[in-house]
Amino acid sequence: MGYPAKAFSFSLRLKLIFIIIAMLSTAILSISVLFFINGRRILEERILSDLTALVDSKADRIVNLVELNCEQTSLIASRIFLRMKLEEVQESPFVSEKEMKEIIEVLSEVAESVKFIEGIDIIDISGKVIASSISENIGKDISHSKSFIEGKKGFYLADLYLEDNSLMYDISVPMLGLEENEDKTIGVLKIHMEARRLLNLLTDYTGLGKTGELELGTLEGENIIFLSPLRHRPDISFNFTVPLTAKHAEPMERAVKKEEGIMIGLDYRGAKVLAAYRYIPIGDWGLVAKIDFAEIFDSTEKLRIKTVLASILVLILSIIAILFLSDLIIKPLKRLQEGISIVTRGDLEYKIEVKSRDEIGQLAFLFNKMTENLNKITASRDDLNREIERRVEIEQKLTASLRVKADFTSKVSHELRTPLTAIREGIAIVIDGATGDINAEQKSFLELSKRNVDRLSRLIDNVLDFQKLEAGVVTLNMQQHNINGLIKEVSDAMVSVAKKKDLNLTVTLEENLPEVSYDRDKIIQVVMNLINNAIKFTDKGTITISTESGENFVQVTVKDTGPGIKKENLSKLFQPFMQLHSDLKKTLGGSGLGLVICKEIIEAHRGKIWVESELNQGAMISFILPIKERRI
Amino acid sequence: MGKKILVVDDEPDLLEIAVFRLKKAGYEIITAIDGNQALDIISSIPLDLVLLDLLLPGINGVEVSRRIKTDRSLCHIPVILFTASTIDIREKNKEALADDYLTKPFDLDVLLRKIDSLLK
Repeated sequence: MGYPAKAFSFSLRLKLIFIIIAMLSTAILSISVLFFINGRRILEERILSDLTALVDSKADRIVNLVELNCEQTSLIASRIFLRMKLEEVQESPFVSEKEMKEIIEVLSEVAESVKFIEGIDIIDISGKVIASSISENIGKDISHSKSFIEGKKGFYLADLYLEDNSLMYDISVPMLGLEENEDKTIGVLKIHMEARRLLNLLTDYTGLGKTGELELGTLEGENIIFLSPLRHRPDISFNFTVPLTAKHAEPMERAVKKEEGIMIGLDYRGAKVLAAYRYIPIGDWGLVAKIDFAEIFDSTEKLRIKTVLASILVLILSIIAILFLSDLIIKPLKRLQEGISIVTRGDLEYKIEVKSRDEIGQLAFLFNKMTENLNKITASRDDLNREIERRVEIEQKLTASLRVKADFTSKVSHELRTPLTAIREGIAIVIDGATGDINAEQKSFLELSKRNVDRLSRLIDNVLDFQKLEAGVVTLNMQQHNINGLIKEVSDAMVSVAKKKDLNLTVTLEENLPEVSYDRDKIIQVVMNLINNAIKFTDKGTITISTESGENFVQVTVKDTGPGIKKENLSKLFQPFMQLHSDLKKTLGGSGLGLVICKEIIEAHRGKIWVESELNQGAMISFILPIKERRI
Repeated sequence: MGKKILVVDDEPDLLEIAVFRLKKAGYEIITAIDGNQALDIISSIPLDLVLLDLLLPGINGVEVSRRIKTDRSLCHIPVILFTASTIDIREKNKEALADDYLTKPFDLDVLLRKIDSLLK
């Protein structure tokens, strides 16, 4: 019983775990894939929006910076002293050295007082530098430069350039006349400014990760010129040129074409990047904030690892939970199973303790109920068995006592018969004349005595036979024979008896009668008894003995032409000591047990005996013996 | 000389009647009233036939008959058993290895016929 029980709980538990793990794995896998894809998309979107915000704020700060510089320049250019001096210089070309020195001193002072201004030039209306904080600039003719031509018209910001490893840019503004000439341009003021603040803005990579950078560029003819330092290519910073026809530098191309937006494209190196771009009109610049796609890919890779780790963790926690849960299911099942095996071993008093009200609890409840019923049935069956045992015992005692009785009667018969024999033989000796002659009267009385001794002897025999048959202690010596032979033998022996009463004895035997099994001595006794009876009660006519066969029996009939029997007396025929012709009793010497013994013998053969008769119609007594099924 | 017959019965009356009839029939009769006495006579006197009651005090008739029939020097002696008991007389007879049997009360004529046929 141990082995299947173990296998059972093991497999059920395992099955449960396998099913739940499979389901959980599928769920977790699909959720994590969705989470991963979604996470990557969100990450990209977030980076792009961050980049957009960054590029916007940087652009604002660049514009603010440039505007501040312009204001500063305009402020300088509007100084009365400088305008007055410029007017004076243009009216009389001869300016004293002292006066010129005074102008240069003012310019130097201003240049020093304003941070990042490296130099200030004052250019007359013809394009000649007449004064400068940088001495070598004085006297230069820049009438063809853009700073002069554009500066005359208004504010002009010249492109960035490198000078002594510093990034520089120039701002030119017109100088206006004084008083009545206030709407007249009399020259141009140009400042050289170190673009350190701008550079600081462009090289501040905060929020751009490890690979991100800001690019400032401009369009010159058919080329894009990168003005900013390049994070990935410091060697070619400030001066990198990419033709518009090139497939890379896409974000910058869009920015310098005055477009604004976000994209995933190739940068100046040809690397795939996420980028936000916009145009800055003030310098005719394009600004791009970008970050390498590979870096984002690194992040998504991290995301993927995180997702996998989280999935595994969830799975492990789930398995622990399942083990716990499966215990919840398996334990009551095990208790149920143990209980059933205890009951199976025969302890019907056992109650399974499963208190839950779920299906298992109900099963246990029903099983307990069943055991209870079984117990009741078993108890009543046990009672029945005890009763049977008791009765068997009684029966055995009864049989034993019957045997004792039979033994007793056997002994009694011996004791009775022994003196009878002595009496009979004594009388016989006297009758035979062996002891001397006796007269006729003496002989007649002695014969009467002898006849009654014989009758007493027969009576004893019959009483004993009946008693033995009724007690069932007679064992039949069954043998398979044709009954015709027996009938013939008995009737032959009886012919002489019949002749004495002048009666005919006819025998009608069916040919090919099937064999039946019977005790020869006992059936002879029956047939002889029946013929004797017939002869005894018939005074005139014929005794007919016949045999015939039925479907599964053989029938023997003895028919006489005697007085017959009244209907109401037929049933009395087979009762002990019920002689119907009480007047005949004395003369015929019947014991009153003959037919009763016949009935017992035939019934011991599982046969039947009956009588058919009407008053004055003769009587017919038949018996049948069953044919045993033949073995083929 | 008539043939010698041993009659064994514990009933003296029956014994007396039987002896009377058998002597009349011309046999020489020796009687015994129990098994031990019968065995003594059988071993000391040459006999032609033994008539034996089944129920005897001491050694019973079945045993006496068996001793006669299993003894090489005695087994030629015919034995007739008689008994008042009707139970299993055939079985007892087989067990006793006797030549014939009679049930009491028996007709002495029948007995004489049986003796005649056994002594022929």
